[in-house]
Amino acid sequence: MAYRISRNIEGSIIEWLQAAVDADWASFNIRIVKAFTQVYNGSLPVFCVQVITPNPTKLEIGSATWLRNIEVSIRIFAQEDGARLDLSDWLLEKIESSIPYYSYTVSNGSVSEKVLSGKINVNTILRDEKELVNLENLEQADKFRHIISFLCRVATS
Amino acid sequence: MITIRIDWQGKKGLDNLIRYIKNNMVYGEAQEKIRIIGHHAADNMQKAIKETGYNLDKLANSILAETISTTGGVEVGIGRIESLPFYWEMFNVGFKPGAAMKLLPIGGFTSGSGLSGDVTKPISGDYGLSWQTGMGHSTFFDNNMNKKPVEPIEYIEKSMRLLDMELTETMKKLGEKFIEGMGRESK
Repeated sequence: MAYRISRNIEGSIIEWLQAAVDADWASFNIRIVKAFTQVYNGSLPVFCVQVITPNPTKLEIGSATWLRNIEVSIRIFAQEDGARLDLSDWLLEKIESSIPYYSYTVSNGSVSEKVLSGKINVNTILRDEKELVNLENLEQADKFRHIISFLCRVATS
Repeated sequence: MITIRIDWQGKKGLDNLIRYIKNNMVYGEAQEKIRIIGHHAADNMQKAIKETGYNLDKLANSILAETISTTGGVEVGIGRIESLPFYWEMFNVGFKPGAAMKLLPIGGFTSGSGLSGDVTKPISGDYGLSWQTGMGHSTFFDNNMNKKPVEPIEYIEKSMRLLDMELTETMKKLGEKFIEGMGRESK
């Protein structure tokens, strides 16, 4: 089964982020997950990558083609506030350059083929801020959270 | 910069056009439509909260829109922080209920459950009850309730997306109407 655009973006971003983390934060044991509940099943820090697909609009007047602005949110769950700031600044710098876009084919639950088929360009940063300001009632994993969300488009090659 | 050049055929047309612009720039139907859209945003937040399955009526019902000002524009405020339950942002972005948290899905227990150690997870919203804070028997719940993470509802973000769509659509319609009116009045 071939993945469609949302899951391709999700997979591509996770793969790209994993490579970037391995290169720059190798000794920090940073986990990257895509399901919110997985955040709490392991150690900090964690990146949680989620793709949201807002309502598409028409590409232009009279066109049948949908213009897909895909919204991506990357939540950072850090162990302390300094790490939250470091990781969020680092991530923001990283997404300045485009992200490789892969088309995935999956067989029996695992990726059987991936083809580099374009680039993911970040158009607009929607949010870059600390989540959950009132820390009083929070578990450790929720105390130093940050969200970076953005709109992106795929430029296929 | 956007420049609009108007070709008029006579002074009457110009006067009509100036009157039309004056009458429609600020106090026209645009103001009322945008005020209504602001109130829709609060409705959409309430709807998103109520669709989750958690019984968060207290939170939903405390998100109200109020028109703050209609002078020289329109200003609509949504959800006064001081009147919202403290967990308003936690449910928006998701969280893991903590050991010290007195935030309880008060509800029913299936028969046979109790203090024996084999406690059934309380059913949030059973008997029409909602999430509450600071109940006397919170220690019991703290020790026994199944503390599964609460996924982000993102009711603010959902409402903002709808607000953006509604505003864009309305501004487009108003713009078309305004341009049409200008064309008509300038003749």
